[in-house]
Amino acid sequence: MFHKALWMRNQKLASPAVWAVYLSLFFLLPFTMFGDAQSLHSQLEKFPQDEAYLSYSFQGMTTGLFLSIVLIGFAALLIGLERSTHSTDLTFSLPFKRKDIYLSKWMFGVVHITTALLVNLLLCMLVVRFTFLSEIGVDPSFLMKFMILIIPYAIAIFTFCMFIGTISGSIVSQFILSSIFLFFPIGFFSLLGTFLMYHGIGVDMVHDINSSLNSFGDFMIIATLPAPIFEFSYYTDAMQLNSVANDYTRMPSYLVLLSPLIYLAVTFPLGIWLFNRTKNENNGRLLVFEKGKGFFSVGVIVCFALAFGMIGGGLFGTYDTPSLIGYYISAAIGGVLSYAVLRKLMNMRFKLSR
Amino acid sequence: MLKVSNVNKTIDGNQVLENVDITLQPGMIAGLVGRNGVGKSTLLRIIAGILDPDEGEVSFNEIDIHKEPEIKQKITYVPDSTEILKSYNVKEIVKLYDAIYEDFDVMYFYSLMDRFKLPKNKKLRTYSKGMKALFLMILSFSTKADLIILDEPTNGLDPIVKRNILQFIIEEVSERQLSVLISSHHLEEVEKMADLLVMIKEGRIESTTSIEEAKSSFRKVQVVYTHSLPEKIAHLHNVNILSQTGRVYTLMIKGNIEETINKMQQEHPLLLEELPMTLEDIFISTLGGESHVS
Repeated sequence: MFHKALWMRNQKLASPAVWAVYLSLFFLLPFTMFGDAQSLHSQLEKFPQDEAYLSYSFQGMTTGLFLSIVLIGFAALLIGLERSTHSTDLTFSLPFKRKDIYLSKWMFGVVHITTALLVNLLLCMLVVRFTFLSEIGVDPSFLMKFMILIIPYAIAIFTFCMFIGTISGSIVSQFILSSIFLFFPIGFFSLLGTFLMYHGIGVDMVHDINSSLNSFGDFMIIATLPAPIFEFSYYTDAMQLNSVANDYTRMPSYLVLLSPLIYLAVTFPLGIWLFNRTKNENNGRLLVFEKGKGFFSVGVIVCFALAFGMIGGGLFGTYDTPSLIGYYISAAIGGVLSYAVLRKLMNMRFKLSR
Repeated sequence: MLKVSNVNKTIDGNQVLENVDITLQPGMIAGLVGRNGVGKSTLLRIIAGILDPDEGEVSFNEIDIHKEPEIKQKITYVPDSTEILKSYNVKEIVKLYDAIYEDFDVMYFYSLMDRFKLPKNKKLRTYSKGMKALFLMILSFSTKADLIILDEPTNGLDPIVKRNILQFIIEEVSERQLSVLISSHHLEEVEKMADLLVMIKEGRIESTTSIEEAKSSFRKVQVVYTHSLPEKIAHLHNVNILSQTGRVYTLMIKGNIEETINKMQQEHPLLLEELPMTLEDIFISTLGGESHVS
């Protein structure tokens, strides 16, 4: 299954993304953490009386968001770029099974993503251990929890974007569709929630990260891949140097980890299946498969109609009495506009020469 | 041996290929000719395993190339675009091909690079179009494949590079039992080197013959009659008008040659003479379409 040649080819195709993964994680994690430690130290040197107010916090949001963008780009370079530059003609004419080509791309990504996360989180632990952070009582075990959360999520996000690559026909469409569909559940359920609200059905959009699936809002967050990473945070408040600090780790319930596993279990085999049946004659188009066009178009039009309805309904109504007519008029405008744009986009070919 | 059986392909609702059958024996050069947009590149891309046929099968040495692509160790494809591998330098490409193809001959590759005076320490993007085409050809032949598929290999190249490439292909085929399937618009090239001529028209194989057979089943003649071309002759199904200048007609006769010439003689022509014929004349009369008499 492992082919050295395919690994070399992937290396050439995706080397910018590999650098981006390692460098962005280095800057977001150990480098930033080291900077925080230095600034806390210099703060204390300048204002010794501040000892009682020293605090350190870590948010999963920045890392989660940046990493998601980098992973979308990584998968787009591995699949979409070949489609846009017609290098698929080379790759697909080689003596390898399509399944092996796909698996080698996936494996290449997973190895680099996991290594980059492990190395950088290890560096973070060293930073905590050997800098001023240890003096104010930062407990490096929160990094272990973050690792347990982010590694399966990063692999699931990458696998999902690779799967989107098997249905989209170019690097541009893969990047855009991955970005949309990665955040699709939260967006779609918000639109659906608003639609139901306009028709007198109230849904509980509030979510609580520690209690899984108690409300519609909980479901929205769990079903959206990167969202639980954004929820992770750590906070410590040192009352006194070298003493036991009050710290708090905001970690989603371990049950939430089922979400990346489910995503992985669905999109990984589906990606292999679709890549095996890929229609290279549609490279450069928005979508590779003609059969899914109708379903996709209906989905896009419905979403745009719901989004326009949500905006328009709010504009025409008042705070407590939303306008149902305004909602439907705006929804119709949204639907028609998206239909017109989509018809153009579907027949367009995006080409890059490289 | 390459065998294309009953291949059908529809793209964007248009049937691009219909019941295509081709058999190519080892040691043969086959020229695939046809007008623009008749499906030549699509057919070659299906044979290379880039596209899947809707129906039918492509096999090499009895093995389906779509089901068991490992057989493509013995098949290489050179696309009409010279844009592939552009971001690589020569050393990287050699490393890559050596890892892909078990029989890739690095020494042979470098000897060919020397022979054609191609620079070895450069990126492919710095090569001229002709150099790139020649490079891809050298690379392809260095894999020691038994079947080489070339899509418009000499498109846009100057006559000297073109001659070098063609000479190189003929040499390679004469040295070992390899097959070459080549699509080209340059009929004089196909005429010079191909053993087998595959004509494709509107997605269907119009004819598969040897160049000699093709030439012997056609005859090009120039006739002048007192008035215009007699209706009796004009209505014959096997006669095509290639050109007309006043009362001078250049005709192409396909099949039943002696019988047709006798019929022409019976109409008392002022002049009836045979003209030397090229593959281009056969191409125009068979695949051109517009000037059919009947």
